[in-house]
Amino acid sequence: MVEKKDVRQGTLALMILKTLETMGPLHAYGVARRIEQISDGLLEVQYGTIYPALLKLEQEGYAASEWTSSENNRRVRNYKLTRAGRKRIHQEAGEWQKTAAILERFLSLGKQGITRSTT
Amino acid sequence: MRGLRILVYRLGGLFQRSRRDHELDEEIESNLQLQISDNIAAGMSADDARRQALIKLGGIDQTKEAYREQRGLPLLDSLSQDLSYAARVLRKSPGYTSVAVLTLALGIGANAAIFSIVYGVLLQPLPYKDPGRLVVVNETKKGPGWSGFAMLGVSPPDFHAFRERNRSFEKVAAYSPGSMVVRIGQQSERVDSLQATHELFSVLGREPMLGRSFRADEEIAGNNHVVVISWRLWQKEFAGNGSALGRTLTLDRQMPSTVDTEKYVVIGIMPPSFDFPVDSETDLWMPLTVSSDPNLQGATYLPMIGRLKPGVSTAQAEADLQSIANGQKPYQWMVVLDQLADNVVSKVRPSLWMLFGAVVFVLLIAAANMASLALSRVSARQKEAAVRLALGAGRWRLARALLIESMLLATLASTVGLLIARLGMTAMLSIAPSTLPRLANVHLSLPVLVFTFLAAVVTGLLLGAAPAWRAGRTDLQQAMKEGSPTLTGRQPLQTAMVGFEVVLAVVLLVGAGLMIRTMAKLRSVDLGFDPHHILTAEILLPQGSYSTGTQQLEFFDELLDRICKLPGVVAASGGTKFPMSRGRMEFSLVHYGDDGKARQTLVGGFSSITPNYFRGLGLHVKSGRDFTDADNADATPVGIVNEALVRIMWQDRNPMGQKLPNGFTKQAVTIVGVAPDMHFDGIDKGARPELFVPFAQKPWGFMRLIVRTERDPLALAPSIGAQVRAIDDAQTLDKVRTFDEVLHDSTADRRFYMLLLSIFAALSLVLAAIGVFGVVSYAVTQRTHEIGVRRAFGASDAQIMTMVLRKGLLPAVLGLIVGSVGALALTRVLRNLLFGISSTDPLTFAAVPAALIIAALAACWFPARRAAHVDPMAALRYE
Repeated sequence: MVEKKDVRQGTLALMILKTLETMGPLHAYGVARRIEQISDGLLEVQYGTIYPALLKLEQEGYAASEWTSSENNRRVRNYKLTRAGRKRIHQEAGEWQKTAAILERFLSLGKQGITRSTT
Repeated sequence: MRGLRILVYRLGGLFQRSRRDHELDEEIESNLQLQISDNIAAGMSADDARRQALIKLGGIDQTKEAYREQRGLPLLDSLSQDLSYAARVLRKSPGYTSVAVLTLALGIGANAAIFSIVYGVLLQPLPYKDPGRLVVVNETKKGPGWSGFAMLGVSPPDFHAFRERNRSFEKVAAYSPGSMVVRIGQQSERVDSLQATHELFSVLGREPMLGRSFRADEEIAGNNHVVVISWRLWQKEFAGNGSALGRTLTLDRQMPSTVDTEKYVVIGIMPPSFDFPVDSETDLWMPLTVSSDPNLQGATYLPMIGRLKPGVSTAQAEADLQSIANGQKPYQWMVVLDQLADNVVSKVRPSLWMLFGAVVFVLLIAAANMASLALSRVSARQKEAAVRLALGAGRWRLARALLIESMLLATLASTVGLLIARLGMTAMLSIAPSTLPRLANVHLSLPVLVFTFLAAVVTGLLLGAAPAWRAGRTDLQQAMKEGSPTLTGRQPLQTAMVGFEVVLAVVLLVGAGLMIRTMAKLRSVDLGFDPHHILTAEILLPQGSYSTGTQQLEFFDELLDRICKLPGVVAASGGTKFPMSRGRMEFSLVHYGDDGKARQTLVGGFSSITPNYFRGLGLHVKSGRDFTDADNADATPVGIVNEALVRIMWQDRNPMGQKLPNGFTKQAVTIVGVAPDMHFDGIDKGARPELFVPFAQKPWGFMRLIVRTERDPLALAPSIGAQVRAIDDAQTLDKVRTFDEVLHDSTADRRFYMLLLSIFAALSLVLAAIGVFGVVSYAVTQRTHEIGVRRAFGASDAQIMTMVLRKGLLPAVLGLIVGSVGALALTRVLRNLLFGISSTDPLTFAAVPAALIIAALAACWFPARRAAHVDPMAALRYE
């Protein structure tokens, strides 16, 4: 059985921003739900952790929020991406991909080493 | 830029908290509803949908806490929360709070008071420009016999040489203190004065606020009738009027012995903060003409001060002047340079730092005491801590809350402490000995306030560190268990703290003990006469109206005659000094051996005395004869020496008939008697060689009176004063004191240190005892159950009490051992203050442990008795 992972610190912000980019303006529950879906249940998101993360993004100016009325006339706080947020996604996505690629290569090297020593 | 934006947002987050809290509630709730709808749509029952949604959300309170921390400036935000929480906690236990605040306030207040003295006397720079470059110059000689030689200054010819040829000083100046009678209209008043060479003000780097200082040509006789006056005198005599400049003052010079009643023109007024010499209340500064008489080369009486050139060290300047002094004839003096600041305070510096160390000990004890109390409280509040942890408080946050609590305590304590300091300072200044310089500088100045604040912060940290550390390690599971004192009654940290308190208390107690023993030894010194029922006073005749020896002698003869006839007077005599009065007149002579070679130089005290001087005190000459009225100006010059002088000069030989040259009488005096050794320089000082001559053969315009009375000496003071005025109504008695007061004053400095050390030691003993009591009492409470069990199994009262006593005596005994070793090392700083005992005085080192063990036993007694009376049934039921 695959163990569910808690969201790694620092990656959550990027996931939230990316979610807002693809989904457009969205409420906290929607963001959390989406992240869980994308990760195919591999990530365990406690929905509560999303609120401080969203607030932080808002303070940093990467996201903005507004209160809107939902279908059933409930007041909901929606978050959307700002221009600065869009820029940050590009930057960080590039870095992540680079890091991931390096790590991938590094880890596969290690495997070969182990195989050799056992034969 | 982004950082700034965040800061602004977060600062904004500090306000309108309830609205923002409400918004978060609403957001969470709306999102929760969205999820519940989704869950129902997925086929869950309404209840199940809500439950699952809540699980998914996680801990609501932790979320809110994390959100709040993100929202505001968490540090500032939670700080104010912690502060108000701490205030609530402290308010809730007023007993604990007031004990803690008072204890710490005593510690902090005592520190502030002592520091105000240390700062005012030792640390505050002297009120001159760049005072570190000011040095005083003295000349002396090394070797046996010179140890008692007073360092008064340099010889006039050497001063001239130094002034012209030195390469180390920007400027040097010589000066000579004295006193003058200022006459304005009908009023006359004696004030302290100083004659100085014209460089004095530029050496000090201070100039008059109005007018000017001396010009070089004003040192020349004839030009020298100019005077710079103090701000004080300007206010008093001229009401602060600028027209004082150019006005004349009629001054009657008292010393040195030249007739000099003259008019002086006021040329300058010094600012109020100016004072020279340091700590004097000098009102007049006049030009000094330094004699160029080469015969004065042997007389090193001229005080000298200089300002070093930048970058020149004291040692370099000393070498410079020494090379000049080596070329002088006929004497080559040894030059000694001291920083002016050192010169002023070097004698009291070790004692004051010792006091400061003692008072820091008191504060440490108080802090340790309160820390161990706080530790016990933390243990009792473990459940509260656990609940806060469960509700999302971080461990650091929990520890910080306790630190803030202790900081709040320390701040409160420092406020109360400042009040205590203010009172303590006034009390201390009122008993401070006159040997303590610069006391006018002692007040609660800004540096003292800063020090107090820092002391409070450090105390708060010390106080809170251990409890905070303990709270940070709270074990959630254990603490939440129902009614679970998991503690076995062992509190190593508290025990260690109490041990530490005992260590410090022992050091303080030993110090105080040594001082108390010293005072007892001083009191038991045998003066050789009955010190009670003696009145002393001084009279200084103005040189103007009493210029000749005959006039002076006539006045004093008549005065003593009149006093003798007063009812209640047993005897009246006088001299230039009396026991303990000290005297500045010294003579030195080279002592030749039988082979005619100089063996050693002898320095002794010189005094003129009236015939019944010794009898008046109740003393008798040991051999030979006393002075009589026949030893007058026309008779052969005679002298009496004391036993100390005989021991050095003549050993076993008969001193009678020996001739003794001295610098005071024109011819050598013939020795006719030997007087007993007396304490002229202080009760703690051994006798130095002394030479006495008849007042009639060497009169002065100055006398110290010794009047033995039948009853209370002070009651006679008015009638003696009346006799003075009956002879000359312009003259007055000065410094009227009983001899008991003189004795009291001569030990005033030691008494001051003894009193303060005793207060600190008593405080530390009480605090340490409270510490022992606290630990034992807490242990008994925690172990009530265990004690109950033991008693149920048949433990006797004695066994239970022994168990409890061991608990309290362990830190006491350990602290005692370490403390005694520490005291052996530390009380050496007291050596200069001790008299008649060594710093390892066995009696003190035996009495202190005894006192401490008794105090510890007393502190253990009540908890121990409570433990012995534990009812096993009640104790077990309580479980």
